[in-house]
Amino acid sequence: MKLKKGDWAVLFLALSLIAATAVPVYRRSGREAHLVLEAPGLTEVYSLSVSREIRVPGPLGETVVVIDNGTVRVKDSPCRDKLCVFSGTLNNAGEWTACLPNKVFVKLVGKGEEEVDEVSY
Amino acid sequence: MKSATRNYDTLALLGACSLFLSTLEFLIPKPIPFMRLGLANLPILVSLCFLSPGQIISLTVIKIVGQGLVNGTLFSYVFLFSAAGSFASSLVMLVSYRFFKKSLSLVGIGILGSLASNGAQLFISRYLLFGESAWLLAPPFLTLGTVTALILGLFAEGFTASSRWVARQVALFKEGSS
Repeated sequence: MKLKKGDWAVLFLALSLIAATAVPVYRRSGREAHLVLEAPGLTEVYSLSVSREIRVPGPLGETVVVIDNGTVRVKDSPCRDKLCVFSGTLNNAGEWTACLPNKVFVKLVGKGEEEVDEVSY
Repeated sequence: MKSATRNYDTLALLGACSLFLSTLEFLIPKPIPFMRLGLANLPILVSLCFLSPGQIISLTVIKIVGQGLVNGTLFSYVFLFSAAGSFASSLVMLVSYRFFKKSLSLVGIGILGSLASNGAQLFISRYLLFGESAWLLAPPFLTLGTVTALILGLFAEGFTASSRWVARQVALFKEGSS
């Protein structure tokens, strides 16, 4: 039995697809921790090395997120309960907080983080 | 009329075959429930050359329901993955068999089918289940799929080339369609 020309082309296509998906996925996980902000229609990534104040627009108004000395906290948010503010400072990769009414999601992603805690079914 | 009935017998036989292969596959432990070796795809791959597209789709439905029954996932979210993956793979295999028969053997068609199935499942898990981290699944999924599709394709190619049963089915199919 012989493989035809098209088979090699398909095999090559499959291998390049694997490589194309593997490279960005595994390169990203090697980087330092960084901040990921998600709001409706917006996903932003910030380095933790630069201290700054970020205003994230949401349906209720602006949620203010502060990066300070490699840590992240929500300074203010236009929601009723302020759970995101009270949840305090995020230090380690994998920690997160969110302002649900304002639909803002704040997460630290990066080294030392378990991507999947557990898979069960 | 007679050959049409025989064709349905063949369909039932192949359906039973893919049920059996689903059972075999169920024995193999998997980290993610919808990760599959694709053993149950073998009957579909083999029958591309002697079943009509409609019958291939019927066989796919039998396979999906059968797998759902065997794995006990008929009424869970896994079923959605199984259905999407199987339909995508069958459609791609049908189309590629129909148009690229000259340059593709069952190996290439099988790999295309597996890519389609994995693509559909990754797409669903990206939007329904895991969000962006679904891409972490992509490399192992695609690798496993390609390797098993390669092996199954080689087997199917050898089987269709040497099996007298397949030759008879092909002859019957040609008789029926002419």
